[in-house]
Amino acid sequence: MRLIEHRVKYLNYLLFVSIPFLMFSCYPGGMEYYSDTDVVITLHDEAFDFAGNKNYFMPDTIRHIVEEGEEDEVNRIYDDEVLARIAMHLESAGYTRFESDVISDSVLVDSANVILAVVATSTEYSGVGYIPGGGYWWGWYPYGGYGGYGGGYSTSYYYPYYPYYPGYGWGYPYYYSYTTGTLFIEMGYEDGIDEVEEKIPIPWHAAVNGLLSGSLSDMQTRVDRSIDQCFEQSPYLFN
Amino acid sequence: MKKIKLFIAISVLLISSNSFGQFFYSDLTYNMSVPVGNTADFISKTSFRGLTFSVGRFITDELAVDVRFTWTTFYEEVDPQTYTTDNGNGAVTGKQFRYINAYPLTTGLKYVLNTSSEFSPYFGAGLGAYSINERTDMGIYYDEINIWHFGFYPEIGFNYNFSYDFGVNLYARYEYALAAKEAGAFSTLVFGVGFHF
Repeated sequence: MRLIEHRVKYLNYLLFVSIPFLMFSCYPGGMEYYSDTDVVITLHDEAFDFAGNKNYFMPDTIRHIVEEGEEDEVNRIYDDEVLARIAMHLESAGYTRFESDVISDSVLVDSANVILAVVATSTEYSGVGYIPGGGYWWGWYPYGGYGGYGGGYSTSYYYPYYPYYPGYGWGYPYYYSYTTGTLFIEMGYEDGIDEVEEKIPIPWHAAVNGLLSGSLSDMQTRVDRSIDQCFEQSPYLFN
Repeated sequence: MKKIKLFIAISVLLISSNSFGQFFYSDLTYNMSVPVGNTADFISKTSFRGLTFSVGRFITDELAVDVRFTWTTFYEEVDPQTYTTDNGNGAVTGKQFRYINAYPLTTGLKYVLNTSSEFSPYFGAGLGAYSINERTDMGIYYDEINIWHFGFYPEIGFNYNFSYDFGVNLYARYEYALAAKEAGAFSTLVFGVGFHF
């Protein structure tokens, strides 16, 4: 009887000590696959006349942002597919693409209503972001990047103005701490450029997070699905 | 954090006292929790992750006072959906991973019937501070609210005693924490089974 009582007393301590182990051992998991990280974000200026600005110019390359001294970790094998898919959706939304082998790009840019810029990056993110928030979004966001005139980026001269996000307002704070790739699709309103302030309004902005990580086998599907989603959740483009 | 340290210190003291006096007791139970109300709107899935540890002392033959620590984790994956911003100019699509970690730290009273028999039903109630962490992961983003709430609970259950200082404990409890700051109210039905010693 004494032995039983003795064991019961030590069982008390054993149970008490086991609590932290129980707590940590059965904590639920989270994201398991790269596709779980896929997030599509779109923002737009509600005052912008999308129906009246259907002529666009889009460079035939995707601009890859690479920090100084770093290597470009984003694979370029999907670039053509991304641009083709964006063009396909814009066409179905009634947009006309200005492109020519004869006429210079600068003339085409001046003639178009809007410019589509596609940017890819792969960076380790950590900090506080704002959705929506345009220029406040990312710490690295290139305020002057579009005005860099070269700097190794072949498309930057098409877009020599600071982006301006009219009507996006101040958003909700979100916290992030992951390494991932992001694809940005930005519509710049060429006819609305402020020459004095050197600003170009961005009436539509799309960002696809997580798209540039993962296995090649399912990457194509994820690329297509995410770009499709950008347009599916932007019905105003089809006005 | 100071409150938790104090609670652990008191618990260790009481569990030590439990070995020397018949008026003290402890319960360690496994919990499953069914979310209701606001909590179910955020996570609808039943939680099978949780435990309650309490230490108590009889102040009369039938009335006991106890302090307890509960931990419950709710978790749910929400398939990709599109969420629009309040002002209508933004939309976000993605899969969400939602978590609630609730840590009620309470004190309460328990009225126990048939204290000297094997089967001792009881009912009780308590109140205290509820630390509740609500988190949503979506891609590279997460949104988190971590706030202390004021909360309370009613509980019914019974102990089945194998000896004078060891038995099993079964109960059902309703936990409710009031809304605080930007966090909504928290409510759940808890069912527990474990050791009474």
